[in-house]
This record gives sequence, C-alpha cells and structure tokens, in this order.
Amino acid sequence: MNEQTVKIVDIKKLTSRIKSFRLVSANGKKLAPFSPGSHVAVEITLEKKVRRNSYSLCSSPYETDFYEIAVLLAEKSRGGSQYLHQISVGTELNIGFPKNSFTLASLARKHILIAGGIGITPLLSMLTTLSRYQTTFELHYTAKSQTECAFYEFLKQKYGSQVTFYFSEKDERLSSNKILKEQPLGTHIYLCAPHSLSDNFYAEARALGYPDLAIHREIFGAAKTNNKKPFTVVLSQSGKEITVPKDKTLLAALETAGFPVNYSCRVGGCGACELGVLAGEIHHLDSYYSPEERAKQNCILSCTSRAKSKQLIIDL
Amino acid sequence: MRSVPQPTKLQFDLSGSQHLICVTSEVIDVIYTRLEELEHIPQNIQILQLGETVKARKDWKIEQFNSVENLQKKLREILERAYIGTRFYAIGSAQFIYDVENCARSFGMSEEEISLEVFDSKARRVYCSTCHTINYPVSTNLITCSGCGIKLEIWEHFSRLKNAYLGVCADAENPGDLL
Repeated sequence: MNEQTVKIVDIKKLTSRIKSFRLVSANGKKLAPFSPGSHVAVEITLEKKVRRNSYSLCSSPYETDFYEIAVLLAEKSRGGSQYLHQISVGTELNIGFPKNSFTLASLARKHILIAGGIGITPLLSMLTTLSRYQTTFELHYTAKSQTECAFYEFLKQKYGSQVTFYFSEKDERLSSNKILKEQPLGTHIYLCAPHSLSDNFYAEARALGYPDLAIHREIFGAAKTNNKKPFTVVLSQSGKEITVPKDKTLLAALETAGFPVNYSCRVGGCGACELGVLAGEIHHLDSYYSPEERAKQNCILSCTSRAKSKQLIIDL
Repeated sequence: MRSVPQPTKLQFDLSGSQHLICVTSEVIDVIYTRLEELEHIPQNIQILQLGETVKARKDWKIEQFNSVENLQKKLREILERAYIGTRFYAIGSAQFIYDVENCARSFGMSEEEISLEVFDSKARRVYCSTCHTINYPVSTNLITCSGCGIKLEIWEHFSRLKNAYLGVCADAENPGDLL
C-alpha cells in the first residue's frame, strides 16, 4: 500500500482563493516524516475517475502528528482544487507518502528563497529547518496584495526582516539582478514561482555565474507550448498503433487505449511516467531531464512531452 | 561512481564572473599558455603563486608567497569577500592542490566552480586507514606510514575530498609477512 489515510481536522481560508488544510492520521498509523520541500499526492475521485494532485507540505518537518497543505483554487481547475475547496472538516483523504524533488542543499552557506503566489508552500517547510539550524537565508515573496498573500502575518511575525514582500497591485516588482548579485560563495537559490518569474531568475543567476547546481526549482504547472501537433506511437512489443491527438498527452492517450503507465506528478517534473523510445524525434517539454539526457533521444516523459516527428516507437 | 581520479586538465569556465588561480612557481608558464590559448581572455583574473620568481609578468595580477600558509591566509581573505560566480583553479602538486582546494570548499565552492590539474601525478598523497596520517610524496605501491609505522598497501581508491589514495595495512594477518 503506497498510501496514508488522513482526516481533515481544520480548514482555514487564507485568501480569496487559497485554503489551508490540517491533516491527521485517520487510522492510527503514524504519519510518515518528511524532509523540507516535500509534497504529497492527494487522491481525488471525480465522476468515477481517480486523479492524484500533488501539494507541498507546508507544515514543520519537526511536527510529527499533522501535515498542512495549502490549495489554490485554480482558474482552469480540472476539478481537483475545486473538489478540495468544497469539502469540509472530517473528510477523509487517501494521500501518498511524502516525496521530495526540491531539497535544501546541506552545504550551502546562504539560501535565497523566491516565492510567487502559492509557490510559498514548499518554502514554508524549508524556512522551519533553516531557522532551526540558524543558517543565513532570505525570502522574497510576491503576491497580488497583502490580503491575497497567504501566510503574510505568520511570515512577518516569525521571520521579520528576513522576508521581503512584493505586492503587484502596488507595482512592487522583484528585481532578479538586485536580489542575486554580490552574494557570497556557496549561495543557493530556491525558486517556486510562475514560469516567467522562475525563468527570469534562472537566466539572471546563470548570467551572474551561479553554478547550475546552486539553482533549485519546483514547477507547479506543466510547460506551456502553443504548437501541439497530433502524432502516433507504435508500441514495440505488440505493434499496436495509437494516435495521440493534439489536445491529449501521450500518457492520457495510452491510458484511454487501455495501457496504464506509471505516473505521479503529471506535469513533467518527477520522471515516474518515463518510457523508452526506440525511434522517432522527441519534443521534450519536461523539467526533469538534463540537456545530455534529452539529446540521447531514447526516453520520454509521457505526461508532458510530445513528438517532432510524425511517429514514435516506444518500448511498451 | 569513480574510485580513481580521471586526470583532469585545467579548464577555464568563461561563464564565471571572476577567476581565482592558485599555482606553484614551477608551473606558472602553464597558466600563461592556457590563458593565451583562449579565444577571449577573461577580465577578472587573480593569480596567487607559491614560490617567488623574478620574472613576474606585468599584464597579469599576480601575488607571490614564500610559504603555503601565507598563500592560504590571503586566499581565505579573498574567498571571504568573493561573490558567487567566482571560479577557482589550481595547478601544482597533489599536496598543493589539496592545500588550496580545501580552502575553496570550506567557503561552499562546488565541483562545478573548481578546475584542477595535478602536475607530477607520480607524487601521490596516501591516507593511512589506521592512523589517518597523509603520507606525501608517495611514488611506490607499498610504503611505511610516517604516522604509525605500519606497512601500507596503496589501493586504487581515491578520495576527491582528501585528494588522497587509500592506504591499507599490508600485513594485518601476519605482521612482517608481506605476501
């Protein structure tokens, strides 16, 4: 069993579109401990279809009796966040075990955390640890306004001058150059923000000479691409051919055709849905592989990536 | 995972904003040659040289030191004030490389930011697994540890952190019998 059963014991409305949920174990088993930056997959059943949405654990890793997650009601919700926003205290949920693809660098001498909106969630558990170890850190947090800024009072009270807020309604903007320049050796950056902001900080950091491994990113949404073309895949073991329409992912197309593939985040960040590719040109849209791995053209993350050629032969 | 070091050639990383080079006087010419080989010679270069030589080139910013301790002291002062984006390079004997790379790492510099080249790879550093003394220079496969006196067999196992090969007691079963 790869799950934990939890019960919601508290729901708080943090902003007009963000709610936080406190979860405790529902079956007497202890909750699994987690490292800062971790997330859990929450199982949501809608119209008989089971989906799993991942949410960062924003509670303290040192609190072993409960988890806290915060959920943004997405504008174009596929149903997951909508569902969570209308359930009540007492509801039981099945969740996975904590996973972490956004860890703190233990040898860093300084940590700079950048949060955009709901991106604050994984950084909250990191802050608890950084503060406990008395490491040097700064948090830069952008939101629409103070009332739309989740955890504003908590952060201001607990971390004081180590947090800087930027409210876009007041035209306060983050300057990546100003924040990243002239930082000491051993500085690491942690980005959890919308693509444009995250990409901007990444580019500025590289331009300033930050080594690639000092820049850590957590991506909440899949990479956007305007040019989605349909393509076909041939399953090498059976010879079966499946069409992937332009509005469906390879993963979804395989699932519909009766070929369930392992998956987790479904946004190209974790690698669980990886499939081997034997022929064809892959259009990588993930945020998981290294440039070298992409160049090998022999594997694909089926939840996000597509094909440049008309057909791919996959190892299935 | 590699147990044995891949011999590396010092390579300038032009994505860095500052370049700090530590070198022993015997191989300073190698640095000049390597720099001149580059299409674009980077601007911010600082060179710390162990060993004083008369011929110091005027076009590079070079500081000379008569002891490794003095060089390390200056190196630490520089690293304390340095900004991330700095790249660190060292060329010289295995002992020298260890003496200076250690400083860079203690300030949080990672492998991505460091490039090293060992001159005279015949002179190895060997770590005694019994008493933890570093034996240097070692050019054979069997030595007597300068720390505890036991016979050490040198294994093809290298620690990047210690810049040393692993030395293990050669006659533990039967002291004196080295078969």
